[in-house]
Amino acid sequence: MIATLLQHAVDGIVLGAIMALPAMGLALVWRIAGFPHLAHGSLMTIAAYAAWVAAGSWNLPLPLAVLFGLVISALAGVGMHLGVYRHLAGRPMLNLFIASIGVELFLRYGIIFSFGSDFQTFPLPAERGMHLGPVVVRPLDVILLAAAFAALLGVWWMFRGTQLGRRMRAVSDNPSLARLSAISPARVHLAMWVLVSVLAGASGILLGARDVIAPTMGWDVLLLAFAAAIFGGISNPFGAAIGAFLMGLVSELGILWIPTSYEEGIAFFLIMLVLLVKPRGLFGEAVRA
Amino acid sequence: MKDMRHGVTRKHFMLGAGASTAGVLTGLTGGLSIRLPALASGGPDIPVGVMVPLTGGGATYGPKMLKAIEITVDAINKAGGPMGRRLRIVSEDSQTSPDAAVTVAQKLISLNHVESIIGTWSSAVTLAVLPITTQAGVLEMNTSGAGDVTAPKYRRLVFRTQPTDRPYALVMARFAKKQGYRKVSILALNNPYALTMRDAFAAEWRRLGMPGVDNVVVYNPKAASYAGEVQKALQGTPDLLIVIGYTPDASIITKEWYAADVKTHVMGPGFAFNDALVKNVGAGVVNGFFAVDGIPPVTQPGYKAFADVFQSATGSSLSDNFWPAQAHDQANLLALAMEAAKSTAGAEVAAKMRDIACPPGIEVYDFATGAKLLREGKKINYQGASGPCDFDDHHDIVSNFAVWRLNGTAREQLALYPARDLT
Amino acid sequence: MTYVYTVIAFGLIYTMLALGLNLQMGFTGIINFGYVAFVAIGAYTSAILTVGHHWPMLAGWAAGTALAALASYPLGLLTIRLGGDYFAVVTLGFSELVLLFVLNQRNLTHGAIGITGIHRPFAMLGPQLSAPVTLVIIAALTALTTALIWQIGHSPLGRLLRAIQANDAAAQALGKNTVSYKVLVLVVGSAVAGLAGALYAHWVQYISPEQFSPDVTFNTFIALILGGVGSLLGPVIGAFVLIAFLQGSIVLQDYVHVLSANQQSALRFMIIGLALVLLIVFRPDGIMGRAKRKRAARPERAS
Repeated sequence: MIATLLQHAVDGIVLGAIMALPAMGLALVWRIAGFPHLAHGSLMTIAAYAAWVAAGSWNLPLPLAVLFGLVISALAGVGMHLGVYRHLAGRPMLNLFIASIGVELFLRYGIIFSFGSDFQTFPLPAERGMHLGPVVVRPLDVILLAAAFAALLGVWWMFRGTQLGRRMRAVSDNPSLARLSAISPARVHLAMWVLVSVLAGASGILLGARDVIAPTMGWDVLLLAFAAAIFGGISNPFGAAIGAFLMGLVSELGILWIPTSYEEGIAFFLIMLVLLVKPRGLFGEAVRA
Repeated sequence: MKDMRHGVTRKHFMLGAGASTAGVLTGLTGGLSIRLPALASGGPDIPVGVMVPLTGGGATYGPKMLKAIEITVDAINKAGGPMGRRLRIVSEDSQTSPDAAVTVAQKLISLNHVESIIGTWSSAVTLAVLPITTQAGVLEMNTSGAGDVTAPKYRRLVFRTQPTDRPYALVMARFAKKQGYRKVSILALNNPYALTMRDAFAAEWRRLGMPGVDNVVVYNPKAASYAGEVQKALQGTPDLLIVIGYTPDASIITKEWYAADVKTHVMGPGFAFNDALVKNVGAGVVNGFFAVDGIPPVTQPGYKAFADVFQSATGSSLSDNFWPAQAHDQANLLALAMEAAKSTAGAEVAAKMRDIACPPGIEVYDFATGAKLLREGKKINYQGASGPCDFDDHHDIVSNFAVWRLNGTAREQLALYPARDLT
Repeated sequence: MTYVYTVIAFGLIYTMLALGLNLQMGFTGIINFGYVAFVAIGAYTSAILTVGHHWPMLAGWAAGTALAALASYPLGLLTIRLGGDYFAVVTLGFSELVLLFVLNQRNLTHGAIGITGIHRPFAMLGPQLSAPVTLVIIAALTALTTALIWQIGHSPLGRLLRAIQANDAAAQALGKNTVSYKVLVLVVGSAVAGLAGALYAHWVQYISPEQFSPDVTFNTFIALILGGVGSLLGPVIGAFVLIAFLQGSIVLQDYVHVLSANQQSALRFMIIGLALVLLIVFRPDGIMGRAKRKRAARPERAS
């Protein structure tokens, strides 16, 4: 029983890691640009497809293919910002939210237009799990966890220790004051979009390697990641990441007792309960970065 | 002044929006009277509605079904077409969505005047379309396995080329018992086909006097990870894990199973455990998997001829999954039944369907030969690329089944289950 | 003709959905991400009662409407105090729970298989006649809903609601219990969604969980944005323009054959996405371009 519990806990942390990267990105967009970004999933999908084309069709070595995927998702994110969201700054949140639905539709079906609806896989063999005591862990999941923690630490360091991070905080807290102190919100926004796109792209590529690459893969994760971000506190990227891990843990442990077909329900139910007690999310105010 | 100007713009836009809506609606009604000129000598083209999923969940399979239908209809038209008239495909995307399918089916019927619709894929889509086709007297052919599809209220005008879910389950249970497995777990997708199959398996398993199924785990489509579900199904290391789903989710589950490194064997329906699965996870991984499916008549000339044409047109193998072969058969069956009925009306064509599809009769594999024999007054028995296409009196397909052991992309047939034992 | 009937019926049903959402969002600023849940509750309630328990159709519709309203009441009471963003996610969670319930309670809802054999009103007249009759009924109910919402908008309550949206704190300071008014609006909007859901079920005659995906909510938002938030005619125009485009692009495919079939299908949705973006950027107040109330709140744009 202990082994089963531990195994499910490991699975839950892995599921959390899958959601943590996009959740952090969603929180950053929310905090700095001020809207729920529904096209975040297509950033994941685009990166996975780009890396797949690079690795599968151009036969680039895997690290280069991954790099290519990340560059493409960064370009896509910056493109969204410059092409659409920048023009909507200062508008009601709903405008940005609907615009991001439009961007999402355009990109998702653009991928179907270019590559078809068929799912794809990276040229990677399936792998045996590693036995660590009573639990089995897939090597890819170790990479996934490492990436999630690295991203978490990286964003933390950037927010706390760099000038860019201070500027991001300044811009999100008070844009006009930031402008007065010679911080260019335009540059901060640009940097933010590069960052969140790379985070989303990394999770897309890892998810594609772990499962399969499909045009809706990002969209399918998005609602859960969004919920996780809200759960942790949407204005706080670290809270969002912790929210993702907690949600992963709760859903994977929950299915030990609750039918698996209600798995997503467990997480949503928990979130609703938490929000009723703490309306700003778990770490909405406590750990303001 | 400013308000005035604003008022004008607003009116302009209202007019514009109104005009464009009206334009579309006139376009719709105008379309009612459009008839294309006859291209062949025998009469005007016969429009045939094709509704495969090109977007949404079934989009993995739909495009190749459409391709198969296009190839087949080309061949039918080259052979002169039914009653000397050409078939004209009117294709619409079902979007794998019952909602979209409803409007699209009505569009096919009222604007394109189709009297038959083929190729609907998911059970939910077919069930959404059936009230419409039945009321309009339109013939409907589909690849949906759910029981309700051939319910008495629809049956007269409905034929499915997909075996129902039941024979799969019966074969799985009987084979599992023969292999001496006792502890069995099931991982089933949360959709009509998989849940029906799961229930039928459990019933047959009990009937065979075996202990209950150890673990039944239902997984939702589009979950971010199936790790927990697979762990739960593998709890207590069952002898056999039955995976009831489609290729994408079966691929993910296979990877999780392989990582878990357990002795449990794996079995599933052949349309999910196909070459694409092997390609996804690697040949070594699936060695020893059991695949259960209707027997494709690979040795018959009809299958072989179409398999080659299909391979060269799409670059993928006809044996990847069942559906392109079924789509091909639906087009051929429809054209032959039209020829036999000397009509395109749904009810009259439906009435002839079993005549041309079931024994006795001269076995034919394509439209050209079949139509020639029909014109000579002979009785024919169409043998398809997906199977013998013999419809029973429920208009369900019965097929011989087999269990194969996967060995890379090669398959070794282990056991054969004749159709008569699977009802 | 049946196709034209269905196009109009869907236009009317989306009009109702947009009206209900407009009431919630336009008059209180509530963003309801889980709107589809109330559509599903209305549709399933009426389908289960009329098919499974042979209730008369009107009773089924009334029950569907009532249950959707009833379900939103405790939800609203519990969550309306949350900020708008958080309300959004709680409603999203609620709708996911409702859909999981529908998918998994197979005894009640037939799960993924769905419910077949739902009748149209006056089905005994035969399909040729019952379709236009049903359409007239749907149109009448849509008109009634529009009138009701117009009434609300022009009553003292409506003015109060606008005041709440403009300045919640000020309205509260005046001693108005804003929470209970917001809950009231939520309940009325949800009842409209429930009725629309019931009408949808009886028009299509088959429902399954797939028909109630979050896409329905997003489509309603799109219709609303097309027409313009907060106005009365906006939802009507937005819904019909949306449906006209969706169906018009399908019909157009019969005459244009440049791309492969799946590319054509994908292209339609790409165009919808692009149109949405362009619309938001260049005409944020909808096709009709209403810009009265919010003008002060927003920097003036060159037009």
